[in-house]
Amino acid sequence: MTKFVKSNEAVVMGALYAGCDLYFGYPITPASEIAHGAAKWFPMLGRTFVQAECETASVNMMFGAAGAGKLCMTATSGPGFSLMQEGISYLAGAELPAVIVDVNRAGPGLGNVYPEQSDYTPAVKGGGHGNYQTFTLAPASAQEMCDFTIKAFQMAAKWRTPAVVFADGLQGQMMEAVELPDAELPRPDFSEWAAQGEPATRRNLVKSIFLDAAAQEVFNEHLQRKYEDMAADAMAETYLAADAELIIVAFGIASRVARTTAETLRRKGLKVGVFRPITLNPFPRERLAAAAKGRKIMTIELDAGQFADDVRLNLAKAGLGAEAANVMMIHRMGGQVVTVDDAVKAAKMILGK
Amino acid sequence: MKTIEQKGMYQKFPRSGKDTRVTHYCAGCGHGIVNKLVAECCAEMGLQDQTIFVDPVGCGVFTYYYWDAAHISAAHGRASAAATGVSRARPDAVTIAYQGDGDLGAIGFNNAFQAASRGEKFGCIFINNSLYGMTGGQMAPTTLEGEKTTTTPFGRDPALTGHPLHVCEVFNQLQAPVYIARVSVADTKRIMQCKQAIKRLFEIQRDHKGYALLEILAPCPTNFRMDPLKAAEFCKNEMEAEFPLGTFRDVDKGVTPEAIGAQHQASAALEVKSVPQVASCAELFGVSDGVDAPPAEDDPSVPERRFKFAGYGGQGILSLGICVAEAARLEKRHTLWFPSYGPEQRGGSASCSVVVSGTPIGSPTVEHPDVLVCMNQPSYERFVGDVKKGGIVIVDASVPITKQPPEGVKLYQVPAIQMAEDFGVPKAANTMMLAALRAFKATGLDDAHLETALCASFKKKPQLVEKNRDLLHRAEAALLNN
Amino acid sequence: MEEKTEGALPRPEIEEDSCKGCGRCVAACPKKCLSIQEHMNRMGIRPVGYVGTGCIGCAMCFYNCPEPYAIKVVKP
Repeated sequence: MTKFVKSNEAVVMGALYAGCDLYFGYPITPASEIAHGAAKWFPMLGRTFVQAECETASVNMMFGAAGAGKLCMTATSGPGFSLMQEGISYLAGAELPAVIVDVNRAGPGLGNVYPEQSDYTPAVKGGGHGNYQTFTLAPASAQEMCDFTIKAFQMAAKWRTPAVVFADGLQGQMMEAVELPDAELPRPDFSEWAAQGEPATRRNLVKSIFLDAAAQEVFNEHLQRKYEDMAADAMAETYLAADAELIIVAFGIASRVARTTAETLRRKGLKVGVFRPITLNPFPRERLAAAAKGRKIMTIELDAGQFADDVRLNLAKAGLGAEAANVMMIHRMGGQVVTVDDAVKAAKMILGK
Repeated sequence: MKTIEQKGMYQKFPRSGKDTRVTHYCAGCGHGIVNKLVAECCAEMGLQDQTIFVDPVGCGVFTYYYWDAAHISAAHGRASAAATGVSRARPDAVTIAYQGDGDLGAIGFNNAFQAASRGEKFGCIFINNSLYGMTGGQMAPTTLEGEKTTTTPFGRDPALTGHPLHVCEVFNQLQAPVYIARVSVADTKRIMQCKQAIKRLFEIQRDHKGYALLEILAPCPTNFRMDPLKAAEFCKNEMEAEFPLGTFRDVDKGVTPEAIGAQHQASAALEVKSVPQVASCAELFGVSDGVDAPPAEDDPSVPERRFKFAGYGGQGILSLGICVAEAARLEKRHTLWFPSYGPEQRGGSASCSVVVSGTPIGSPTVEHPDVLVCMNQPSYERFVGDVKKGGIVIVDASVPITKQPPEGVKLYQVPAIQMAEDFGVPKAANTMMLAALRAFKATGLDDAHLETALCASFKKKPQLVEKNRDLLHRAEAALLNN
Repeated sequence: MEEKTEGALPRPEIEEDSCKGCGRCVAACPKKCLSIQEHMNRMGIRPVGYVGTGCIGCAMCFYNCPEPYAIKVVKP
C-alpha cells in the first residue's frame, strides 16, 4: 500500500507498525502533525495517546511507560527537545528503550519554525548530563521518516537505549509517497527487566541511581562498551562516489541538496559524489574514511558547522588527519536552506574550476 | 501464636553494598513510619505482585530497597509524570507514586496537578514534612510561616516567600480525583488513621477507580532540630494548625465537595464521540485514498518539473498543489509536495511547491519553478521573478501585472475567481486554475490523471465530486474558446 | 537479647541493632513498659528494651517505630 502523506504522518504510521503502544507529547511547530496523527490513530488501534502538560512531562511519561515494558514515543522540536534532555539522560541511565523524534527548527531560543540541523550536538552526542549517547537516525524523505521510525524502535529495543529520529522542519512538512510495511512487528519482551505489575516482574527495579562510586563507574564502562558495540549497526549511503574527486558529506534534508548538486556537477563533467551518514550515532566512520580517503571534502549543512566538526573528528579518528584538516563547508542557518546553485558554486571553487 | 511484625518489606536492605536491615531514615523520621504502613497494606491486600511503585528523588528515594514489589525510580519532581506513563502502559497494575514537598510541591507541582486533573489512575502519597529533608533542611512550599529552615534562617516571612502551599485544598478544586485526604503519623491514633487511608488508596487503585492523593504530615526531627518526640509534637500542633487533617473527598463513599459539582457545567452542544476501532494497521491505513497510485518508477527520460502555487488561505492553493502531485503519482512519477507553514500560513498567505520527476528527487526546495500559479497580487509579485526560462505563469485576472515575468516566460491571465463566482461556486477558484493548467498543457501530466486526482480530493465530500468534475470541464471549455 | 518474659503473655521482641533510639515507642506504649537502655548497640546507640512485664500486645510500639525490624510483638 502506497500513501501520499506528510512526513510527520509517516512517522506515526511507522511507529504503529513498529508496535509502539503509547504516544506522549506536547505540540510544537513544525512537529505537531505527529501529535495530530497519533491522537487520531493510536486510540483507533486501542493504543494510548496522552497530551502531556509539557515536554518535561512527555519524556518522564515515557520513562514510566518504557520502565513498565512498553514501546513508547514522543515528538518535538528544538525548544521541546531541550526540555527533554534531562529525561533522555534518565532513559539512557536506566537503559530504557524509547523513541524521540526531533523535527529541528531554527534556534537558539524561540528562533523560528523553519528548518535547521542545529540540534546536531544534543541529538547526536547526548544532550543531557552524564556519559550517555543515543542511537540517532537521520531520515531524508517521507519513506525514511516511516522506515527509520521503525528502525529507531528496533534499535532502541535491541540496545536498550533512547533512540532519536533527527529530522527538520522542511521534511516534517513535505508530502511524499510512502510504501507502508506489509506487517506489524511483534512486541518485544522486556519482562526480564521491566516493572510490569506481574508476578514474574515483581523484583524488577528500573533506576539510574548508583550510590556507590565504584558501581557507577562499572555501569558507565558497561554503557561505553555498549556504545562501541552499536557501531555494528551504523548505516550510510554513497552516491556517485566511486571515482569522485570531491565528496560532499551531508545528512538528512541536506543530503538531498548534495545529491542534486552532485548530479548537476557531473553533467558539467566534474567528478563529484555524495557520502551520507544515515546513523549519526553510531557514526559510520569506517565507511566515511573509505569514501573520503584522498578526496576533497565539502559538507552541506543547516547549522553553524557542528556537523562539519563531527566529520573532521571522525576522519581524524579514522587516521585521515590530512582530509580532516581540509574539510570545507557550505551552510545556511535561520531556516534558510542551502540552494543547489550555491552548493554548485562552492564545489567548483573547491575543485578550482 | 500471632506475631505483629513487618510485612511486605525485603528482609535485607543492601544499600551501598552493605547487608543491613536498617533503613536510611534518621531516628524518629516520619518516612519510616509511612514506609512500614505502605509495605504492610500492600502485603495485607495481596497486591505485591501487581504493584508498581514510582519512587521520587528526595528522602523517599530508597523505598525500592524496602518495599518488596516492582519499582521505577523517577527523576526529581517527575514521579507523577512517570506514574502517568506506568499506569497508562499497565492499566491492570496498581501504580503508586511516592513524593515529597520538593518533588510534588515545587519542581513537580504541575506534573502532579495535571495528572490529578486528567484523573490518571494512580495513587499519589505525598509526604509533607514542611521542608526539604535530603538536601539539608531548606524551605519548601509547605514551610510554615515563621518556621526556621536553612534558607529561611530568620523564619519564613510570607511577605517575601508567600504562605504555605495547601496541596490537598488546591487539588480539591479539580473535577477528576476520586480521593483526597490528609493524615498524619504524629502519634498512635493518627498512625492508625493513616494506615486506613493508605489502605483506601490501594483499594481505589486495585479497583482502578481513578486518581487518589494522600497527603501525610510527617516529622523530620533532624531538620526541625528537635528530638523525635518534640518533632512529633511540632507535627501535631504547629503543622496541623496550618494543614488540617481530614478526608476532603472520597467519591465512592459519598464524600464530595459541593463546589465541584456546581462548577461542572458541560455544554450540551459539545459531546465526546466514541473512537472507531480497527483491528490492525493494515485495516487503518489500507483504506483507499481515492487515488490508489502505484509506487514510483524510475524513468530518466522524464524531465523534472517544479511547480509553485501561491495565493491566500482559503483559495484552495494547498489542495491544488496536492491535486497536481497526486496526478503525477498516477503516472508513477517521483513526487514531492511542500507547503509554507507556521506564522506565514496564519498571516493569510498560502503557498506550496510540487516537484515531479522521472528520477528520485534531490533538493526539495523550489527556487526556480517551471510553473507558477498565483491567485493574488502579493504572491505574484513575490514569485514571478523566480520562474525559469521557458516556464509558465498562470495568474488570476484580478491581479494587476505590476511586474513582467522574466524573458522567455509565458504569462496567462485567467479569471479563475470570477469564473468560480459566475458558476455559483466561489470556493472552486482552484478548480478553475486546474482547468487552466490542463488547457495550457502546463503540467506535462495526463488530463485524465488530473481529473482523477481532483475527484479524489473531494473524497470526504462526495457530493462535490461531480460538481467539480463538471466545473472543470466547463471552465476548460471556456478557456479554450477564448 | 535478654528478656524476662513469663509463660504465655504477649511481649515485644527487640532487634537492638536495628533500633535508632528515637523513643517513639517508649512514648507510645500505653503500659509504659519500654525504656531506653544503658548499654549501646553496634551503631553506638542506646536501644530500647522491654522492662519485662506489662505488655498487652497492642503493637503501638511497632506502629510508632520508624524501623521495619527493630520491634515485633509476639502474642502467644
